[in-house]
Amino acid sequence: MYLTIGIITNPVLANNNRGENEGNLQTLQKVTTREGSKVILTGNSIRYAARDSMQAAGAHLWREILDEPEEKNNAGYGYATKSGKRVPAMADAIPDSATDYDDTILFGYMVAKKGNNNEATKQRGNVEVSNAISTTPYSGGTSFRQGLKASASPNGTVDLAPYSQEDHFTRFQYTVTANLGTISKRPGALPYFLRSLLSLRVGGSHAANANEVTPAVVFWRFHKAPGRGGLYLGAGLDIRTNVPVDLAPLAAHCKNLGITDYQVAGVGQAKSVAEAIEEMITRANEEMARFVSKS
Amino acid sequence: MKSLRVLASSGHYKNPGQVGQSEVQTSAPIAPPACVQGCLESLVGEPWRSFRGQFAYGYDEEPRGHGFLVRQAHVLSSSGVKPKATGAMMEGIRTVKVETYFDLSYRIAVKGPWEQKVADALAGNVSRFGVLSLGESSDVVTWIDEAPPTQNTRWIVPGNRMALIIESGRGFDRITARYGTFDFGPRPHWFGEPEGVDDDFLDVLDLFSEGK
Repeated sequence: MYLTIGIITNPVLANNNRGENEGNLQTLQKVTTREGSKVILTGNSIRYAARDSMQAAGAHLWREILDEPEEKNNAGYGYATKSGKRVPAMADAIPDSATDYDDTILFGYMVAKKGNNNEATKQRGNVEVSNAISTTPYSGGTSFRQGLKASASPNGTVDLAPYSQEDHFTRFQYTVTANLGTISKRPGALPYFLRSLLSLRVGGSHAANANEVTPAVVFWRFHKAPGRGGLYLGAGLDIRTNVPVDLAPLAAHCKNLGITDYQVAGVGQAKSVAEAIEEMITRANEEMARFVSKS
Repeated sequence: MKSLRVLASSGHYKNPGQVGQSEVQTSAPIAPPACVQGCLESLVGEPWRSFRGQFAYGYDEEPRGHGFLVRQAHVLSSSGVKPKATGAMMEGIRTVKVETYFDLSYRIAVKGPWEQKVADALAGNVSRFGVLSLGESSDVVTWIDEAPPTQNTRWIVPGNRMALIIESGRGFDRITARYGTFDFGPRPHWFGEPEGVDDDFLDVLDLFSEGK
């Protein structure tokens, strides 16, 4: 059994999921579509944000973002060993099984070190997050920022370091799919992840660019067959920021695919997103328990 | 024969080879035959390289989007991934730009003993691992159903437009790839068994008239 969730977010000022800089312009990650240039929040960055939220909620994670310098590497991660100590190198903390931790059962893991079979040590994940695509084309907006150089110049002054960053005020849409059968080996992990979707700090969100990606509308369905979630609405979706979310494209999309069993919650709906998430957790727990009792 | 409509949110079909810091990790313009075969095996919950029968595939529509996504790639090394004592870069991690297609619409046709397995999978009657993908694991299949082929389908056929991996194999100490050269055509080419089917083209119009 699978759970597929489609999400259309509240408007957010996207200026954090950066691509590579062009000179002193911090760019956004974009994709060229028939409808113009659309901004992307990658599935990787959404998963990173979910993992961050799960850590704050007390999930038992293999990879954590740490403060103690002796336990973390230069990316800020520390990996759990069997003794409970955290180490900076994942190669020194290879899990025995993906079921050992809440993040490994959901997202999988790969340690880029050759094991006994001369291959990387890895386990595929059971939750996949699509790239989030903006519902409006990027129109070229930038903002001017003023930084300071870290070091003084030879005459003792500290120079200004002006830069610009691309901004795009938009909604995003993305989907999440979970294989409940395989997650049932560690069922307590899934609720942490689903509740994290209520508010995600995607793409850095440092002090100057704090924003949270929150769902305005969610739509979901449980389905037995793989690949039949059907709730990804595509890069051509056009939903403006200054109006309520129009669900006509969702209805038309599902009608086209013959999907009739999806549910909707959020702004303007009978059920709130938070209520919907709890409902999904309850049903998912039932499905996972059923799977365990059958096997 | 089973004719499947397969939709995927994104697709990156990595061309093998190392990519340097800040370089582009290019993608084949369409999923290679080896990738499609792997997707079918994953769909029905069977092991790698277990497919028996024949399959053909192509695009029903051109991908709706194209871009380059910045990613931190963890490079496989015999010494593992260790942090450097100083500096912002971690040993074994490179920033690469991954060429990615968006909103893909495939047609995959299957003939032979795996038709029933595919039918069982679409009915939800198979035990399998993970989420169904076509490409990388994050290139999720968002919809799959049985639907007749269309006149617009551009099938993958032998030709000279592009090189695609037809088989992933295990060499002496690593996974290797065997390539074929292909083009798009109006009628399908069948991959798989039995041998010698390369010239066995199927008339698409017959599929409509005979309801296959």
